[in-house]
Amino acid sequence: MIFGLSWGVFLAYVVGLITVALSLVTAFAAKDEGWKVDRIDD
Amino acid sequence: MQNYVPGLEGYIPTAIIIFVIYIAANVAIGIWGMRKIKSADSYYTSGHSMGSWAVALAFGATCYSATLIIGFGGKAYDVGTSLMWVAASNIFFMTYLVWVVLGKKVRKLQEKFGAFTVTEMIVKRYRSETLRPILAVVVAFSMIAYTVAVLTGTARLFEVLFHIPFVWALIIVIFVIGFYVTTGGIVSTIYNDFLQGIVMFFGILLLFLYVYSTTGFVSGYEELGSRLGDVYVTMPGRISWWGLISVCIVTSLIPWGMPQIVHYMFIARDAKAINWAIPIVTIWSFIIVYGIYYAGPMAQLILGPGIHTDKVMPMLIKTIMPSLGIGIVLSSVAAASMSTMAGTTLQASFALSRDLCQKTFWKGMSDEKVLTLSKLVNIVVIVFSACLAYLRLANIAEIFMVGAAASCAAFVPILVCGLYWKRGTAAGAIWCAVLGFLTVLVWSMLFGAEGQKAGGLHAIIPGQIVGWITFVLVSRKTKPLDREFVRKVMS
Repeated sequence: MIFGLSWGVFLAYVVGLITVALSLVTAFAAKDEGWKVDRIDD
Repeated sequence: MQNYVPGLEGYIPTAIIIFVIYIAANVAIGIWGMRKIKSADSYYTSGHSMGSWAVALAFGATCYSATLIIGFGGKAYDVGTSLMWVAASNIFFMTYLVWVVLGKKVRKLQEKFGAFTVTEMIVKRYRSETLRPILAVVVAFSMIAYTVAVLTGTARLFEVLFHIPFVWALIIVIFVIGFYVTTGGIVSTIYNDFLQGIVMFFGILLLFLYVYSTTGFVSGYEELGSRLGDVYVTMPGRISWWGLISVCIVTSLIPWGMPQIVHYMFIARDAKAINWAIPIVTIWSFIIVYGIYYAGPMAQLILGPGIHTDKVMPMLIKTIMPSLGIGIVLSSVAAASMSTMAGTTLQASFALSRDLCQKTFWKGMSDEKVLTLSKLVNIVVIVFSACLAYLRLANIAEIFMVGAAASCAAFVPILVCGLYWKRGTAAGAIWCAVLGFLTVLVWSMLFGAEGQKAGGLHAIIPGQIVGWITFVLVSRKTKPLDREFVRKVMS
């Protein structure tokens, strides 16, 4: 047990916190992309 | 066993005042959105004018409805703390990964083809008009099923908490949502979803804080273990491993294959809006899902054992919160359902008016006419769904699960492969959509909507297996699309 939680439940909290951290890294690490999209006339 | 018998309780006047203010705000946004609608493009895609906050909260508010707050909060009370893994899988697969994998690629593909709907984008991606009516039927079926489920749940919540008859609760809900969706299209829907996302955030945060102040975090979990035994606080809890994995898969796959949610990627202004929507929606979802799956088991300490699953969260809210807090949390639950329902009715109307009428049967119809038709169809969809909800043909969870599974079986393989796999063909997409959709329907009829007669194997799993295998095999056996066209799509 850790912080009153079983290891499995504790890991579920860890996954959530890592995902939040990943989302912040994704946003900060994103390069300034142009938004030039060529239309496909089909 | 404790019985929950609703009476005319003290919180009702305050809760109703807060709720009426909230509804008035929804209607005002509907009127404001109506003024911004100048073309079919603005009705369907908001003219791609939305920034990261609007996109993120609208997406989140649409993904999570009363099914999560009431249904899964109560389920966590029954099963135990292991359901925190549903929160973990939801935040990773349903929120973060779906935006990273689909977000910018979907938005760019939409712009390359100038598509108004997800179906239209896929039809152009695979260069097959045959696909259009098939997908339109799948969307209309799944969105109406989803609408019926959420409409029933919301009206039932109003009935229990405000003590009004079910039929009047239905009328109030369809009037409010029908008004702002029909008049203001996607613009009103997005801004109302944004408002609803804020209300949900503060509502669930308040609920978490009140539960925390009553039970504590570490002390609460320790108390749960000592009172209810190790099974309740360890993995997999009072559920089988297979059952836990199924719930994680079913709830996490939904935004990958439901067009009303994928459609929110269309409205983003640019890449920057999508990049910043990712952390906003992830943090927002973290508070919502972890708050719910924390509060559910803690209700065992606050309310004691033996409460009916669907009544756990309403009882918890009533027991620990003051009137003002109850008003905010109730509004947040109603907000969650209304935002979800707004998205589903809008998609059903898009599928029937744009994809089926304008692009399949009456090809000469102008965008102005289809705009009017969309609004009429929207009213028909809402009234039709309300009639089905009134008839109470099946329970909420069953209708919801079949609609979601059918849509995911048809859309997930062809959408993901359409973005990442060059070899996919129109024939592969057509057979995948048809067989995936039929597998879900047949499986649900034979084994029950939640796979009760198949060891709990939910229809979404065979639907996905059949869809993916069919798509890859048929694509491999048929002539590939023009290489130059595929290069442009993938660039």
